[in-house]
Amino acid sequence: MNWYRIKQEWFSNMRGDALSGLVVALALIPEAIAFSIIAGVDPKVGLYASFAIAVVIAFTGGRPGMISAATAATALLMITLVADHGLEYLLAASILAGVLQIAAGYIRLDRLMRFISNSVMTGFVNALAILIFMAQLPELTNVTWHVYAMTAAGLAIIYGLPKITNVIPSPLVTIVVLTLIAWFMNIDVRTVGDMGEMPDTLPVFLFPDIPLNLETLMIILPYSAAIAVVGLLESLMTQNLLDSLTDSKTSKARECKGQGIANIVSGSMGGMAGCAMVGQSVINIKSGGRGRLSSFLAGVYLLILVVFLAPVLTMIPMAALVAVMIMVSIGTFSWGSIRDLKKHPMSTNVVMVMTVIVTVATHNLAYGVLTGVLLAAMFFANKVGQFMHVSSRLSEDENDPRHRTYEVIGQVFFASTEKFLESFDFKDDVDKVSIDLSKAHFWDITAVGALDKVVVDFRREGIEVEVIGMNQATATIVDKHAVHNDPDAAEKLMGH
Amino acid sequence: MTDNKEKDQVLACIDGSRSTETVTDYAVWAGQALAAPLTFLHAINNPHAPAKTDLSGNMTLGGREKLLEEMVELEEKRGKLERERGRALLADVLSRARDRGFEGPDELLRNGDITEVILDLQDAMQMLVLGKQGKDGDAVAMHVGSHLAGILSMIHKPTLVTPLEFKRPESFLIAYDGSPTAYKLVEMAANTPLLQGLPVHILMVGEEKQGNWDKIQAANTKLQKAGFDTQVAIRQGKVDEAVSMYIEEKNIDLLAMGAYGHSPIRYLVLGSTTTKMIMKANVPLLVVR
Repeated sequence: MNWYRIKQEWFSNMRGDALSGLVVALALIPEAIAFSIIAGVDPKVGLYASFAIAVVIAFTGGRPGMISAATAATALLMITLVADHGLEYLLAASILAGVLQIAAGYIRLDRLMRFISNSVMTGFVNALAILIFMAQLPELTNVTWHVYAMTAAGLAIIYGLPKITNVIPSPLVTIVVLTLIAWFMNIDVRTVGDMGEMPDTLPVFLFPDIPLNLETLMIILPYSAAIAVVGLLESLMTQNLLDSLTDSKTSKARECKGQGIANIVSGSMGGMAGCAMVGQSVINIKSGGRGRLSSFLAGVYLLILVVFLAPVLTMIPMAALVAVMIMVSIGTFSWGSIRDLKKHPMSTNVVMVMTVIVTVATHNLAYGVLTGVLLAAMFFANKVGQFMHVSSRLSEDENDPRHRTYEVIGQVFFASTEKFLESFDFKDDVDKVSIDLSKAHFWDITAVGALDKVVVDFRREGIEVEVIGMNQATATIVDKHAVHNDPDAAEKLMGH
Repeated sequence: MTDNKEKDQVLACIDGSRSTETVTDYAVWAGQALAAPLTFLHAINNPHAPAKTDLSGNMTLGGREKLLEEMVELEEKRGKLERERGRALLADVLSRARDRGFEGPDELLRNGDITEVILDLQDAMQMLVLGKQGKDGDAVAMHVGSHLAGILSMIHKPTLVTPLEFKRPESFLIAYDGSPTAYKLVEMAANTPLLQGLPVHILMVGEEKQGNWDKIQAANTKLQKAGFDTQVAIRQGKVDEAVSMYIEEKNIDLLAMGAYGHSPIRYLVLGSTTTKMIMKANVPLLVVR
């Protein structure tokens, strides 16, 4: 443990962190309320969660300055659990998700992140943005014109005010102005108070009131697993983003464990599970936040504001919240990805779009990411499979007539074996066939099987077969073929 | 790591502050005394932070991408300028070192936080020389160069922290507390060519009792055997005050001391005795772990 580093991460940017923490706390409150509504629980569940996660992750997280709290990505996974079994099961699921995340941190599942391509990540944020937007639609259907007018006014303030000044958070001004208007003009619109209980006390530690048996475990485990996976995905993605913004490298394994601890604490305090937030973290950096203090203070400010202002918070019209969440949705969307559709290859676009479609259809980011990763892997296998070529020539030696030599160059594996098989002419009038594999790589058993078939088929035609360079070509099959820790291995692979 | 892998070099950090020339002079002195290769290091730290704070708490379409673009554009210019400045600075320092009679000093320009750059190079050096004052100069005069405390807490090689003026060391003082660390310091002083032949004072801060005299005598014997001209003393009071008084009284030119461990809380709140000494003393400090 290095105390100098701790001092750096916590106290090297105290003024910036104190200010940005406040901006973040103000932005977290409407989001926590909105995400509670998505999950179908009282606003206090999301608010307690945001407090607990932001404070705990300040200590346990891997990335200083990253903001974690209750999020849409995880809230979306809880809807049916809450509807079918109630809040207590959600709290237990949050705790279990935390345990799974800690385990993931220890077995370094964060390393799997490298299989998630950029297009999958882009699909992830775009799907998230769409889902956040869709979650606002119920508030905008079957309502009076007042709601539309207020939402429009809210958006006008949110996007107009920063053009005049960026010293005050514009979403805050939106909320204050719309609340005042609704109150003074006595407009009858739905408010946050109609959506459920607000926090009235400080949170207390309480283990969820559920029967501790196998049946309970089987109910919550699927939810916990999904929450753990999606939470880590968004957290590690956000961490990548912040690392590239600040040109630094931070510990992913520590972030996994940190997220786990934060979720366990959140669940034990009556909060739902959460994860890192892309938008809030960028806001934090933009507002001058850098250190762990910013996340810690964001949580503390949030709790103080919420507990003292609860009566006021209940008066916030839902229209104001919807306006803020539309901003969050727009800000989350990767605009560049639409612009780049024309530039990027078709396969990349398909991966991105399918990630979005599957996520939006299932409301589960894990399915979307899985689809994206599988598609990306298939496209990649297909591309690499094209790096295989078989040429043949007839012997010109008079002593050795009717002898054909096939030379195989490139990658032979499951995706290219079909092409490999088609490259041999079994109807050829020859006595002997040589297959030169010394410039080929056989990657799997499928490829070896294909070669066996070629040999057998030639023999059945009465043609003698000789295979050259088999050992080099199949060296790649052995899983332990350690290209990564033998600097010469990669060279040999390209060269032989 | 870098391709500059020469072992056992003296590494001197320069940052263009007032202490640069003094650091150069002390580094030349150390390099010559140790007959070691000498490399001058300048690290460019690009803070990678948005130029102005935006408290609007706003998320706009494409704002995330724009933020990165803006930062890159700005930092690119700043980085180029800093690099040119760093090269010029290193050229000045090299010519000063040559004027002082050092043959073939090396230069090294790196991007990154100075603390991390130094730690990366740790294995390739036998001694580190750096200035007491950070780049922001007088404003933080009492606060010790902002990175110094961190570097000292992490480095395992002897470190020479220079004051603002250069004076060729002609005597030195060992701050001795009888601990194993302190005895290691004595052994190092006895063996290093750096301090060979200089008159040495051994000072202990504590009660004047037999036990302490015994401890100090052990150190004294060790140094006398190594051929040093020694003087011993025990003073009472606070360590930092007693030591700096002794330095003034006896006209000491260099203070060698161990980097002592502290409880973490104390470190976070108060800093260490080492940092206090650095603030008070007007002589170079040789800190040994």
